[in-house]
Amino acid sequence: VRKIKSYFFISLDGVVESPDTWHFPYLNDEMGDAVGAGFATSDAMLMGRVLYDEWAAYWPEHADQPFGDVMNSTKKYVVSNSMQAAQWQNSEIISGDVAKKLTDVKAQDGGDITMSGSATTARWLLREGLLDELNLLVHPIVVGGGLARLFPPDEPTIPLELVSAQTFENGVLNLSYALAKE
Amino acid sequence: MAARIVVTEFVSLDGVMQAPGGEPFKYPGWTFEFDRGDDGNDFKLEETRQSDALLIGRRTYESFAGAWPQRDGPFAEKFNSMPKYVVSTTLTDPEWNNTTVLDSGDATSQVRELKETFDGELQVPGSHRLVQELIESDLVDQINLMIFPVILGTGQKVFEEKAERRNLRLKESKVVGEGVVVLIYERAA
Repeated sequence: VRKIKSYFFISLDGVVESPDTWHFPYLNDEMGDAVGAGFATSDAMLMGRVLYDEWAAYWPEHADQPFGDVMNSTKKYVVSNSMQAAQWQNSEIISGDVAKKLTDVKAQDGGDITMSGSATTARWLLREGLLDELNLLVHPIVVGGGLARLFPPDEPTIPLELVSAQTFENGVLNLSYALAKE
Repeated sequence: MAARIVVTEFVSLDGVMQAPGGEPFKYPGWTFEFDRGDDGNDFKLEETRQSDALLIGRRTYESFAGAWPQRDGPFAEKFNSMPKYVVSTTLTDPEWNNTTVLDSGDATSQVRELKETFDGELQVPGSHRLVQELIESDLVDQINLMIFPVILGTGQKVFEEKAERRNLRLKESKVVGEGVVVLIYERAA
């Protein structure tokens, strides 16, 4: 079965919004390797509509940038009930009974499916028991400022288990969680 | 010689620190569902032994003062004997041994004064509101977190949303018990 793996750059206070304003000082080879390892077993991406719109507007025009080819050619699943058409190369809309459709996608042959960002979709997948890995790269910074967090208040409780933990030289943690087994 | 202020919290993965030990809350005593292991106990004991006094808010005082005097063992001995400084405008006659009340009319300046005159480590467990003020006033020298593998989904957080941007230095990290992560952060140089 294909796994859905979610990756977030996250601050100690749980902020995941606008990583471009706080993540880059911590980007190093260790982090590059950790993210690369996650994507090495994957052959598709999953995202929410907001991220899809952002990337679909950017990558087709920037195919010559690093990762441009990969981003454009890789299969993309976008979870949305409002989108009518997905114009970006090799992308597919998942709507309606999303849980069932993603379960079917996971049962197909193929590599893993990665997510980077899309907090709303990741939370929904966690609640539905469809997320196989929640990978958090915890940066040693309090970002604050009212930026959006991965876990806003008033969400249901979700028990997890820690699958692995790694500490990078620069103080970033690579924590990998899965849903707790019943 | 100024004191070091060390905040220490049990938190869920989503940063909730409320009522880990059974105080009134939607999920009272939620940390008890997890096994922090002997290594986790050793960490907490060593941490407690390193403290020279507790600096706590009124709610945490009431919770601790209601529990520790009736207990024995190394944690209880240390908690019961060491000085306790409580930030509160309502607490007047604290019964717990060795307790001093700081008038929280201006908590920050009270704590700042204590920090300048006290020699040693002031440990701050729980104390949600006090911790917000300490973080805001940049009076915290170290933050120890024990992160349990659960998204609680609701409750007071160590870092509430209005926090200011602040770089930290990860001093120590380890996994104890069943997937419990211990992290020690210091102020970045």
